Order: sequence, then structure tokens, then C-alpha cells
Amino acid sequence: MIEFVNLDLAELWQGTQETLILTGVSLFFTVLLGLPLGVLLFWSSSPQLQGHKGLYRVLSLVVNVLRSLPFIILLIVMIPLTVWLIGTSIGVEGAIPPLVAAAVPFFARLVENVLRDLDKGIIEACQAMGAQRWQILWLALLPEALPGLLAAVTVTAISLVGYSAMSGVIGGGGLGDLAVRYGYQRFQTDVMVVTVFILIVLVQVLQWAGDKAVAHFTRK
Amino acid sequence: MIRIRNLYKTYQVDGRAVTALRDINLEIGRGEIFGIIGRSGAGKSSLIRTLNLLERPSSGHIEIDGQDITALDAQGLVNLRQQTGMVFQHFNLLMARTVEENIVFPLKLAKKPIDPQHIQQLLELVGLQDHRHKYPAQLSGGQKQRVGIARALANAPKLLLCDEATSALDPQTTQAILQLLLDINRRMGLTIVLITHEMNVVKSICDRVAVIDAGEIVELGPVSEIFLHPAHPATQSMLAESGGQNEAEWQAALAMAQGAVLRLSFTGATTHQPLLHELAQQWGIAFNILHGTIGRIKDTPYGQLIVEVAQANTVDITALQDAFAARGVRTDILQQGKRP
Repeated sequence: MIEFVNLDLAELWQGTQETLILTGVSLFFTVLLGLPLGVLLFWSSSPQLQGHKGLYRVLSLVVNVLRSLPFIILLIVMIPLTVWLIGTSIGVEGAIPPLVAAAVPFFARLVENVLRDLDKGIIEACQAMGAQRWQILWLALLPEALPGLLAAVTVTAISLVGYSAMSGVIGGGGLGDLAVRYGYQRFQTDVMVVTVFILIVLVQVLQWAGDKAVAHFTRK
Repeated sequence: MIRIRNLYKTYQVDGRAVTALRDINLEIGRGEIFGIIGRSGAGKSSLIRTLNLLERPSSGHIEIDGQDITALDAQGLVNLRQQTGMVFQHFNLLMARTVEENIVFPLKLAKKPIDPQHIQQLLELVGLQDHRHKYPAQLSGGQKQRVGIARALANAPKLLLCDEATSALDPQTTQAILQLLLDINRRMGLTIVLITHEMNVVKSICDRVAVIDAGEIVELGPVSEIFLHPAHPATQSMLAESGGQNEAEWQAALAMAQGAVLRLSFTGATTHQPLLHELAQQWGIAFNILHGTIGRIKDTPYGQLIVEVAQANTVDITALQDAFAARGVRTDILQQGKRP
């Protein structure tokens, strides 16, 4: 039987807040950068929209390289860039750039796939109506893709919760960090159980909210 | 209105050049409903897509209202496409937008002002005034195509292209959509070019038809002419499949017949006259009807009968043919009388 003797509620609360901040802020920047990158990937690979094969090859390579790096390596490699960007490489702030760097290529690929799954007939119909390329993307494809994009945001948010646990390596904080430091390194099983439980609840809530949003915008 | 000259389209498939369209020459008049019929892969889809340059011809010229559209610049192309409506087999509607938003969409793209009365008229024209706030997923196939048609008409085009517009619909809905197209053609004087693989579509609403086979136009003319006297094997086999001309049915009867066998084709008013009876009395002969079809091509009633002339030995078939011709009936001799 586990006895909850090592629990420090203030620390748990702080960890929860840090996880929410890490996930929320990283998600914001991930969507901000990943959505255009995903659209660019889709457009450049589409012969129907007179894409650019060369550009696609370059972007695709960059995305693949970033996705190949284990997150823990990315955290270390990013340190100079993080310092240059926000002045520090530690703490919650220091963890955000590597989280964004890991999530942007992942999210961009999801966006590319969502757009690719749309009915090609829509593009043809828009072209037949005299639509410009940006109009096809902005007025037709992105609104059509909204449910799929929201699902991609949900998956990415949940991945970010997972990645944020590793940011403890650079003092990034959060619940995952608590679980590793107390539960794993100091054998305080009670802390680990509670933090993991909070993480489970967080992921459940994110998935539930994401599913709700997808359902709300699905017209099928 | 449309004049196509020496049009070719070739594709590169695995490094080989494949000719999709070969030396197409066509003229389509203003206000005409022009059908292009062919099997899948015959090139009809490529052909209709060259009319709004969704596909660029490899060589040749397409004039619309005297303007060579293959020479248009980017803005000219946008204008051309805004003046050309297109309706698709699978509707290609925006699922995230309502019926009304779909219909307004071409105006939005063209940054034109949206007149609520114009939208109301379009909705009424296609009979969707009660569905304007629904999403396409809530509509039946026929209703979706009505949205597609209203959308195609929103920019008040001069030309409407229909790409297998009824092929995804059941027979009743197909007829309703065809009647709607015919109605639009008459009310607005809109020129319609449609492609299809179904003879019945052509028969219902087209004025003229081109038969396309392996990238070439093999037959071209008024629908009644092509339908009653198909010359090319491709046309004949498509007709047979649509049930228009089922040779197997009367070939058996033909083998049994002793007298001369004639095929009589009549259209228009003659369809309703008791010709056979008159001629039989006048000539003192008997006709044995082996096979018959009576129907309607667009608005024109037509009939086609295969008859055996019983006392063939005593009758001058050529004179009989002249007598039919004088009454506006075309005759073809399928079999000379067999001597006993």
C-alpha cells in the first residue's frame, strides 16, 4: 500500500502550472509556425496547384532531420540558439524553444497530410471558378480542413505534454520533471503516482476537448 | 460561339507520349446544348477541360466568342473562367459551407457584390429555397447537384460545362437534373456543353452530339441523325448498351423472314400517322412487324420499325422506298426478299 507521505502540494501545484504553461505556450508557437510550414509543404508538393518540387525536397529534408533527432539531444543542441532567442537556456522559458522546434515539424507533417486528404475535386472546382492559388488555400482548403486541423492540434498538444516531461533535464520544470526527480531518482513512489495521475487527467481533458472541437466543426 | 481547330493533347506517361486528343475540330453554336459522348478514357474529359483551360491543349486553337483562349494572359484566364460555369460528376461542393455560401462562393472569389435577390432567384431556380442554410452533407445527390448548378450560374456565365453531371445520380434524379438544365438553357439562352457516357442523357436534352473514340471525333451531327443511323462501331455499341438498338432481338426474327426486310425511321409528325396501314391498302400488300421502338429524342417523337414486306416478289421495293420517302420516312433495306 502506498502511503502519501512525501507529497508537497505546493510543489505539485507549481509543477501542474509549469506543465500547462510549457504545453500552452509551445502549442501556440507550434501552430503559428507549423501551420504555414504545413501549408507550404502541401502546396509545394501539389502539381495541381503548380507547386515547386525543389522547394518541397528542401523543406521535406529539414522536417525529416528535425524529426529524426531524439528530443533529449535536441534540448542540448538547441542551447546556444535558445540563449540567443530569449536570453536563457534553463527554466520554463528555456524549455519552450526546443519544445517548439520538436513539435513544429511534427505538426507541419500532420497539416500536410490533412490537406492532402481533402477531395482534389474541390481544387478543380475552385480553379474552374477562376480562383487564385491563395484563394483556393485560404478560402476553400483551410476551412474544409478545419476538423482535421483541430485533430492535429490535439495530437500535437498531447505530444507536447509528453515532451515537456523531458525538459527537466535543463531545469524546465513541470509534472514530468517532478515524476522523474522524486519518483524515479528518489524512489518516492507516491509523488510519481500522483504526478502521473495528474498527467493522465490532463491528457484525457485535452483529448476530450479536442474531440469536442472536431465534432463541432464537422459537417458530415 | 465556340470554334475548336486542330486541337491536340498529349500527355507524358512514364516518358512516353500518349495522345489523348487528336485533331479535334468542332463548332458549337450559341444557345445550343452540345453533347460529347464516349467511353471512359476516350478523351471526352480532357476535351471539356480544354474549354476553360483546366487542361492546356498541346497544340491547336480554341476560340470562344472570337477570342483565342489559348493566348489569354493570367487575368484573361480568370475572366474566362468566371464567365464559364462548370458542373461536376461528384459535385465538388465545399462541405464546410452551407448551400447559400456555396452558391455565393464564385462571387466571393471574384470580389463581386452579393445581391440577396440574385441569390434568392438562383435558389428558386434550382428549387432549394428551403435548404439554403443546410450543409451539403445533409442533402441528397440530386440536391447537391442543384447546388452545383446554382453555383455554376452565380456569375451569370455564357457557357456551362457539364462533366458527367448526372452519372452519380439515379435514373429519376438524372431526368430531373436534365430537365433543369434544359429549362436553364431555354430561359437564359445559355450554351451548354456536356460530356457523358450515357446515350439517354444525349437523347433527352442535346441538340447535336459528337461521338469521341480513342481521342478522335468519329461522328458528329444532330442527335436524331446519330441516334437513328449510327455509322461508327463505337456509336453502335454504345447505343446497343443503352437499349436504343438491340440488334440481337431482331436478328433472330430477320433470319426467319422470307420477304424483304426494311428498317423504317421516322421522326416528328410522321410518327403519329397511320403510314403502314395506308401504304398496305394502297399497294395491296401486308407488313409483318418484326421489331419496333417508339420514343422521344429531346422534344421530337421518333419511331423505328423493322418490317417484313410479305409479298416481296410482286412488289417493287425501290418504288415502295420512294413512297415512304415521299411521306418523310427513311428506309434501309436490311434483307432482300428470299426467292422460294
